[in-house]
Amino acid sequence: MDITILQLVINGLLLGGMYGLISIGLTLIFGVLEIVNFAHGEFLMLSMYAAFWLFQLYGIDPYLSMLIIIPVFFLLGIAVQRITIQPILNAPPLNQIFMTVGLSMVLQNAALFIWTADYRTMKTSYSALTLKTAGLIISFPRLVAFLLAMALIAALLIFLKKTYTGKAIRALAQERKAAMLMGINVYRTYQIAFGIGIACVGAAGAMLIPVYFVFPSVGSLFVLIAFVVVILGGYNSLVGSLAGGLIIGVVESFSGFFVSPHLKEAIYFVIFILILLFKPTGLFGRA
Amino acid sequence: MRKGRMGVWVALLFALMMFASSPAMAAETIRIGALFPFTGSLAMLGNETFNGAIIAQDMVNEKGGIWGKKVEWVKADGVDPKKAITECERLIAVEKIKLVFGTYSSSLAYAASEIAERNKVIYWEQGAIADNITARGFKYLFRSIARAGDFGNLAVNFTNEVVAPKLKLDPKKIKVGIMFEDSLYGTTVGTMAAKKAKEMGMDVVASESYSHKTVDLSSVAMIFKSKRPDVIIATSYMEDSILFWRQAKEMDLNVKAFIGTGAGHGMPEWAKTFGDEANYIFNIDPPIGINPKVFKGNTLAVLNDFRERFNKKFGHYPATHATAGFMSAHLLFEVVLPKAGSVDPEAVRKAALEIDIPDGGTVFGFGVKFAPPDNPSAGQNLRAIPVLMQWQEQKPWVVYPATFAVREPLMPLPTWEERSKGITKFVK
Amino acid sequence: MKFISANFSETLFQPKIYFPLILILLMAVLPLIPQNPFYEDIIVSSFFYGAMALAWNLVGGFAGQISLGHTAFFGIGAYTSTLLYLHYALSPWLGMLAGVALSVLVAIGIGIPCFRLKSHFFALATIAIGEVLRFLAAYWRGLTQGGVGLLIPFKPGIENFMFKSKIPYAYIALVLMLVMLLICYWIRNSRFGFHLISLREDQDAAESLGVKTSRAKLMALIISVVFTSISGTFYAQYILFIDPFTVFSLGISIELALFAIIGGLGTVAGPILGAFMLTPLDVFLRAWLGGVSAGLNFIVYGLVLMVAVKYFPLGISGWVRTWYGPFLQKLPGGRRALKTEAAAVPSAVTAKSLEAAQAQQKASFFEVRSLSKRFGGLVAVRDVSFQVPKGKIIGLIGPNGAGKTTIFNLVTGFISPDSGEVLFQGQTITALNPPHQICLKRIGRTFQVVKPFRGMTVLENTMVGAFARLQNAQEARRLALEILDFIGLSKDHGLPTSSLTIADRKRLELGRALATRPDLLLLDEVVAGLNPRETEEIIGMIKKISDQGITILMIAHVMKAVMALSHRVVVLHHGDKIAEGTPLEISRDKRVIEAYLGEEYLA
Repeated sequence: MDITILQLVINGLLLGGMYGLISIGLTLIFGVLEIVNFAHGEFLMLSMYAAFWLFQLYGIDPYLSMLIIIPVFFLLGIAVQRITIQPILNAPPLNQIFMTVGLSMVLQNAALFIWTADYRTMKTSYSALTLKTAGLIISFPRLVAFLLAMALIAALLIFLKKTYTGKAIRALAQERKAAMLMGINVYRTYQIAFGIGIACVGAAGAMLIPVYFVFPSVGSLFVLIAFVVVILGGYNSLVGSLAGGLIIGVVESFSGFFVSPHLKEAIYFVIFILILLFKPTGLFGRA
Repeated sequence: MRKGRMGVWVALLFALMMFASSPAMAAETIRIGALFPFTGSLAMLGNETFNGAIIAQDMVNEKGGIWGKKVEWVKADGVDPKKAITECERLIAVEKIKLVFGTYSSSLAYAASEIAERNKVIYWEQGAIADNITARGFKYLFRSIARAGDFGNLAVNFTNEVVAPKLKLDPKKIKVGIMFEDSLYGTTVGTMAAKKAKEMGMDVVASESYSHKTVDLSSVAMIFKSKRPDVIIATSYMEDSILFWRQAKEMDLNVKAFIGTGAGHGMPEWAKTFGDEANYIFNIDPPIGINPKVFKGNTLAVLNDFRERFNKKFGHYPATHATAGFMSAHLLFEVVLPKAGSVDPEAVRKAALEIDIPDGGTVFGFGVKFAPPDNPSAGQNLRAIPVLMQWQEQKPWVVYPATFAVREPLMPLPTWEERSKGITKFVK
Repeated sequence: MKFISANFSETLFQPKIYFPLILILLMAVLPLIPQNPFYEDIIVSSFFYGAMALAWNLVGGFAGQISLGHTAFFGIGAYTSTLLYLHYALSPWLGMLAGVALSVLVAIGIGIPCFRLKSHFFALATIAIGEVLRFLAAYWRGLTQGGVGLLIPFKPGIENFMFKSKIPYAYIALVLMLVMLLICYWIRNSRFGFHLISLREDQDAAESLGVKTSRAKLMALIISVVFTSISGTFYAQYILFIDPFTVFSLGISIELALFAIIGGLGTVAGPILGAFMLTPLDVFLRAWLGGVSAGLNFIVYGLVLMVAVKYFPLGISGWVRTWYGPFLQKLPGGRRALKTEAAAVPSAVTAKSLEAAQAQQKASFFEVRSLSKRFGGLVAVRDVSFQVPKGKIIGLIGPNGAGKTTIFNLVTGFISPDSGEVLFQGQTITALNPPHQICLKRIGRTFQVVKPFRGMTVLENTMVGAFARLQNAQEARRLALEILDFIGLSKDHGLPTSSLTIADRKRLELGRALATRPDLLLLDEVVAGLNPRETEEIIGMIKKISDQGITILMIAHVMKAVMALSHRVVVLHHGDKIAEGTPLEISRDKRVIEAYLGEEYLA
């Protein structure tokens, strides 16, 4: 029984690492810009397709194609922000929600139209590679995703703390008007923040495709998870998003085993509701 | 005023669309409704199934059609049960369809066929397997393939009659683990398999349902690892079947036999995704790849013709779903409708009930005899059976029942470690 | 001004009454026209979605609580009535009531805790609730048959809530929709409606005007949930097949919000417009494009949504409103509707306030004792005590960060003190919470940064205040007009607040608080940001208010106002009270000069 428990923990952490990776971009966008981006899952889907096609057509390994995807998605994020979000920055939250809902519909069905509903998956040399120690099994690609999540967060934290743009983003997150008065170009900063958020999603997709598969509606599976993770971890804390992901992963792993695989998602949704009620700033967020 | 004019354009566009969507002027064709999930999460197999039916249409139209009229499909997209219902109504009320062909998915079929029955329109089901579809005493519903209960029973029977003796396990002590996705399809097969297994005295150590939308199935793998079943019977769609097998490998979950029950485990993608690791899994599906000796008359020729045409048109050979689509449409076009003389539902149902095709007479190798309305499975093709196949050399081969088999089943399933070393230790 | 005329036909022949009635009549006739179940279905769906969108709008539009979990109640309604019918042969009409009861219970259980959340979080929480219920319904096979779903055998008969033809369904849906419409219309013009809208716009300001925001939100939710649950039962009886994925679907929640937002969020009839436009559109797009190629129809749908959000934020209603008024006037009988409302006679304010003033003769009218508050390491207010005698004006001054607004917030229930007491007319009101209770004790306040209710006109803003003491909308209107006249905004009473100048907004803020008929009025920087002429005007107004017996405690920076108005002044600095006295005394107090005034003033 002992080993089972440990294995459940490991499974949970690795799953959670992926959840965290997916959510980093959302934390940035939601936490900093207070934009509820319902199309978050669709960007993940797009990046998974991108990594897939780069592998399929040009044989580029996702770990490498990530380096292409990240800057491309950064630009994509800026473009999307300018066209869809910027015009309604001051609108009530409901409008933002629906702008992104509409965007998600368009993206999902455009993908369906272009690439059909077929499931695409890839097989790399390391797709099913596992490390075995002491009777425990660790999936290699998931471990890499986990490490990448940590690296990404570290990089982002440094960026936010040390660079001018990073500080501008933090200033904006706290107080928009004051930031404007300080000479910060609000619109440009929002664009950059959004771009970085989407770039993070791009990285996540590249990490995800070796262990998962992509089809047009794959995003809708992940977007709710991402929101749960972000809220749990603290909607404006990057470290929180990883921590939240890990916790959700472990909870899912244990409840799937001890309660029922059918209810595991329901259980973390219940936790989600409880967090919202009792500690909406999440575990690591600041008010 | 800008907004005012915009409103006029919107209204015009609106009117234009309403006009454009009204039914086209009918040429002399036989219009048959095609209700499938053409979009949405079930779209892939929905479209694949329908493609099989398209070949049947091609074949009959090349001969000049039925009664000199060509067959024309009127498509309706049943994304979910509610839309399936409204689309069915549209087919009947607006498109004036008398015969609806569909549906691939059990929940769609279950819901939409009620509408057809109420309107006394023929509902020709080609591939949805849930038992309750034909448990309603309907007069206008006909299903050409086997039921979920048959799938579940076959899995258990195979376990009892072949797996247990071959592996020298006591059938009354054999441990069975069951997993199924939570929609109508999975729930029906899974629960019926569990029931049958218990009836036969087997030890059902785990019976786990899961959301078909899940992104992680490690819990199910872990439960099986801790309960150690000898045999796993799984009912999954494409995504979850692939997900589970990947995670089974990661978790080093080993069982002696793994029996899929249609959908995910029968698709070509299975082998494409897993290569050699796909091998030695059993799967239950409508009978394709069966022993050619089963076929009577020119049925084999028809099957081969279908396969070649399908490959030519769609770029790959048809698997079970496409074949089911073809078989059912072919039956309709070549046997039922000519016998009926028209698409009038009364004539069609009379013709359908009179059909008596012995085994070997359809491309699936089984015969056709539809249960009359007073039968508890009204409308069901009582001669339809599923068969059990095994993936060997990345291809599916029928291994049970014996008359349909082309190869011997190989057991036990190699462990993951053995697989990685290419070792197999099959019993004779 | 005449609202309800004694002469019935006179009322009936006003276009703004008869035109909607004609529309309703047309809708009533509509189901009989197509003679074709496919089109009849579109009509049924439009009515039924219209009803649900209206119900959603009550919570999402009027009260501004974006629920994306309404599918939970839809599903509960559908499953409850269906299960009771299948297992106990209970007529779905009765099962519907059971569904309503269960939905209301769940709403109360969830609503109460969730309303505390800010809008984004509230939306996410409600999504989660819908999802959890779906998982439960799929998992709990013993109860719901899980993913297999429930099929209701077709046995037409009114007692079974099943009909062969779609027409009876259409009429039931129409009745549902019209009842909901009537309720929304009635609410919009009632005290309850004003409360909802005010709390949507600014919850703090609403509380300060005596709106019991939590209770109002809950009431709106309950009404909304009742109709959503009924719709669920209706759906089950119409489609005769339910499963967890169709009735507990996030898609439904989003659709309802969609209809409301496209139709016009927070309007009375907007959601109907949205439902009527989008329901057929969806059907036709699917028929037209869905067959052509997978997903095209949804792309169009998504683009429509995005365009609507960006270019038509007020929804179709916003567009309709631009021509509806003039259109109505062009109809027969239109001229009559142009009568402007008669100007109110300013009378009640003076007499009634004096009465209230004379009723109490306590010496210690309002007192703050040893009030302290820290925020983390920062001591905002330290052991501050002072009294405000009845009928006087007390000024509260101090440099920025001295703690003045904090004292206001402590006193009015927006924050709770660490220690100390607040006494009003002999009663302890320390940490009375939520803030609406302070208003009910007859203490009113304004806010430093004015908080006008943007979705309302000047008059409606003031009416919210008036509703603190009055139940009847007409009386509230009358009082509001008097107040507006008093503060000089009566000619602007029909304008939206966005067209007011800063000075006028400050006046509105003042008038709104006045409308609650306080005995004590707390003014936070009413004078700041005004030019000299405006300052003079407002000083005069405050004097007049004081003359009517209302006690005033005012925070101010503008010395002119402080000196001119205050009987006494209290000076704060870094959280401490450093001086108290008459204006003259404190202008000479060395500590005050040092901290605040600066040398120039003395000269």
